[in-house]
Amino acid sequence: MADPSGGHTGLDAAAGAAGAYADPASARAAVSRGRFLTGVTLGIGGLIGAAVAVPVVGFALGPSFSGEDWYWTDIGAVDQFTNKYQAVLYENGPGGNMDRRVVFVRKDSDNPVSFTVLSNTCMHLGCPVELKGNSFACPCHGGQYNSEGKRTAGPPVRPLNRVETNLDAVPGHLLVGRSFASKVDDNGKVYMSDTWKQPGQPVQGLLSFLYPAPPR
Amino acid sequence: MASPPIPSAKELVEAPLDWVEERSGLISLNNYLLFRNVPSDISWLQTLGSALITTFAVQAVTGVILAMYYHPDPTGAFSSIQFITDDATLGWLVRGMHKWGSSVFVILLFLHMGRVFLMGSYKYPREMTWLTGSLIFLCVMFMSLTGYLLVFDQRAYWASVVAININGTAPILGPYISEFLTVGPQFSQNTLSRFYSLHMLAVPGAIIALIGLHLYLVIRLGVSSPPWSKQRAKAGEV
Repeated sequence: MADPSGGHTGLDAAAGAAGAYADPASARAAVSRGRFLTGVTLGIGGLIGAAVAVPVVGFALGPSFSGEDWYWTDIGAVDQFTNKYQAVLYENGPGGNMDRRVVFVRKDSDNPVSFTVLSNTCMHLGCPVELKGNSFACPCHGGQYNSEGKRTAGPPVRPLNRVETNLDAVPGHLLVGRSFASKVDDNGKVYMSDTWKQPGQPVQGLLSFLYPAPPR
Repeated sequence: MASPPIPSAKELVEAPLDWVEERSGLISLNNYLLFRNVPSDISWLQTLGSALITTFAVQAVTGVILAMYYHPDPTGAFSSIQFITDDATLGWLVRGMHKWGSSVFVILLFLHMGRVFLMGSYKYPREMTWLTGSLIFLCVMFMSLTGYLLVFDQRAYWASVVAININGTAPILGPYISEFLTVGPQFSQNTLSRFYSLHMLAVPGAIIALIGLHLYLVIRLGVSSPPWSKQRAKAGEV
């Protein structure tokens, strides 16, 4: 009977008169040749698989969550805007047609100069809303918004996004950047937040916790 | 000196088949796959699966040819579709086969699932056949979603925007799924390439593998008799 406490017994037995015969209770018999080779094959195969899978999965997922290329766009002189909404088409990134955006621009006051810039993306499922007089309507599923971009009817879950503005970069000109989710404060007033979520995802209330915002 | 006997026509056909059979067993495998016993009281309803395989083959072949002329980039996609439809020889026909074939596929798939469901063919021991079929169904839905964008006209673009945002409304995972599909926070120039790659490489590969598994199970377990069958199952048959 082999000594169960040490691994040397098997080696000794193999080296002894028994020759190729290994004591079934010895450490040598505990891992058979077949089991050892199976384990090594699975282990090395797993390493090779991981070496392929990690970069491939990282490459497939990474670009989706590493933000976007964008730049400030000069959409014209401050003077050309009035207190009535005007639709403006511009590109705010290097993607050509794919980075084409439409905003509705309204000058709120001349001194100091301030603007309300609404994105035309419906906050139901992302169709473009159209300007109807002083309010907005979505042709896809009937969402309606008032002049502040607040939902008045239909399925949208939140107000129209607002777009960040820059009046300093080019004196006398209005520059627009990315859009951010609008929120409604306790007095019912709409303001631009610093969060961004896709259409259809609430940004306020209990349901907003169901929609984590991936990094932008 | 006697000349060698002239082989008969039958021998001329059989000799190469025998040669293949002796070395690969493919002929008997083929006979095993195609000349199986099936219940005598099955009907045309049991041919919907074969119809689906035929439709899949049509989609695969026409898709490969379309890919030879299609440009998966935002500036060239629609004009390459116009070239296929208006200028390329028989392009209108091949594109039409692919476009209408996709609807045929979905319709046949629902009929096939309905037949299996209403006849109870999903029951023991065929649960795995049903499950693999359900996975094929999900893949086909995903093919319909990704294929719709490739035409890249206004309808394709906005329908895909809406579809991606519907994905985004799923709790917790939704925002990540939709950003995976668009390759970034919003629809970008990489979205079209991603849909194209998924549509012509990833999902068809998955469908082919699943069809293989599905067919293996169908052949292994045999075709089920309809619920109203008068035939009694023999011992060992289900």
